[in-house]
Amino acid sequence: MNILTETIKKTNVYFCLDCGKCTSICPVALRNPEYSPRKVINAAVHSTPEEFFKSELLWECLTCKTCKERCPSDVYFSGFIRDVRSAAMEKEKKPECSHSGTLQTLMRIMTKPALSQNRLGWVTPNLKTSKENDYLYFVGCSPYLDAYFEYLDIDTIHSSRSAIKLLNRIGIEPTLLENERCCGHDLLWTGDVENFKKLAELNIEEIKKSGCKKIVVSCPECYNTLKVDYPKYLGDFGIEVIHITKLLVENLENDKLKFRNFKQKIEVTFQDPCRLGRYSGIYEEPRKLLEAIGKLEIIEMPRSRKGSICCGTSAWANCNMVSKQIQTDRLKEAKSTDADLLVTACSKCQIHFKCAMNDENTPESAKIKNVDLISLLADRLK
Amino acid sequence: MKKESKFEPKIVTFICTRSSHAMQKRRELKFPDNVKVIRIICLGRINPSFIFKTFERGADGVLLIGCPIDECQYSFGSKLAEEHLFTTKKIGNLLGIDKARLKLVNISLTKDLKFKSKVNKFFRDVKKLGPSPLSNR
Ligand code: SF4
Ligand code: SF4
Repeated sequence: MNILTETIKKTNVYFCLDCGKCTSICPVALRNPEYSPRKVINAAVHSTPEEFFKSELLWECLTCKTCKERCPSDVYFSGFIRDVRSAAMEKEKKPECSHSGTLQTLMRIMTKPALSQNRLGWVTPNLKTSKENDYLYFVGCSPYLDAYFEYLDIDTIHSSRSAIKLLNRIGIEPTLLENERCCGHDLLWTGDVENFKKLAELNIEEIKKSGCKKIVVSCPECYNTLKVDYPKYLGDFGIEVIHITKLLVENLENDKLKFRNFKQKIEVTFQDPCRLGRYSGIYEEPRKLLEAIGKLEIIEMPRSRKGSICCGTSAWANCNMVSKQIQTDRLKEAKSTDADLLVTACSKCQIHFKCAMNDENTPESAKIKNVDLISLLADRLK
Repeated sequence: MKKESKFEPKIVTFICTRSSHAMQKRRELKFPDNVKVIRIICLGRINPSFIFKTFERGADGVLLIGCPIDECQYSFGSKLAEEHLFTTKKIGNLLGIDKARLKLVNISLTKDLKFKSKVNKFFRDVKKLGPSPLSNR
């Protein structure tokens, strides 16, 4: 069986009924009439692997998984795309990477075993961490994103500090890895499974060496990668992976976690990140935490939770006019709720939205103040 | 010790067209064989991706040669290069790439900027550091 046929079978693609429900909901199809998941499926079934792997359409999908929520036949289209990309990559077909591929290069640099990073310079003395602890906090790429996207005025380091502050409040002084590497999410989803596995192996080795029993993660992509993809590609490594919002919600009821009320009523709207929502099923925890802040009210966007719309680009690949339009549409939707703030829980959503808002062609109706969930919570700690 | 003295670092130099003419005119140094020279139209063309890719592919040092900010024929190129270099150095520091492995040296047709001694110092520094931890050697 050739690799294309195998992937088609594995991801239920043969079950496609050609009903078009996916196309009607897909944010890319909405803005790019050339694209439709259904069309890609048709092409996959009717062409040879050689022809199919050449197609540009392979790289258009955001892997946001919205189509799977609608599909009556349980076609796992984004899983199909992930796997055919890796097959295409083996045939030297590559995606067009944003930022001249810098971020992918950094990821591949991190596969070098001799690498010795200085990635913890941001850990200030007020943050309590331990050399050895049952809990390990997997930081993710925030130090790198902070340095690279300084021009966008994002503060991913503040988010990491905030995560530790919140963990400290519930009595956890986590271990941090001095040589943590990129989780490999973006390489995996753009088809570079070989380097994804290298990163995963190096991370698992370091994690095991730390002696921790649980890994806490705040980045939705790292979370899904460590929890689902590491075991899938490398086997179970025997350590529980928890998203920080789950841990915090558990601590809302006891007195450990209390937030200061806002002085005046504030309305916020929440962007469900694809990897946290549709991929991990975490919808309620971020909302419960936000609601624990007095005088804060959540106004939902018309398309939220399972129907939430992706921030327009994924894995630093294929950022184009369609991405900008998806972002502008989504920002307009957020703004139309009349909320004061758009709360995001993924640094990439934040980077993509801020980039779109920086564009001089973006209308005022798509400009809304944006804050990171973890930072907001830590800043309101009593 | 013996091994270290035999070590010939792999160095990649990005040089702008104008600086390359300036080097010829001033009869400045000839690059040794272990230096791979990549001519680009203006140093403003580089960005962090060029530099990290070069390290990823095994360079022990990366040298950028361009015009002083006030002599750049594109007016903004050298300034842009400095901005990119600033970001690259910050990220390079996170990755543990020794800052001596990456250097920008200006050359001018009219002023003596001690070009030759600066470049030679860079070569010596990289040699002293030994192979880059990213070079797979
Ligand atoms: S929704 Fe599912 S069954 Fe319908 S066209 Fe799309 S993939 Fe096929
Ligand atoms: S995963 Fe998202 S972008 Fe890709 S086809 Fe499905 S809905 Fe469209």
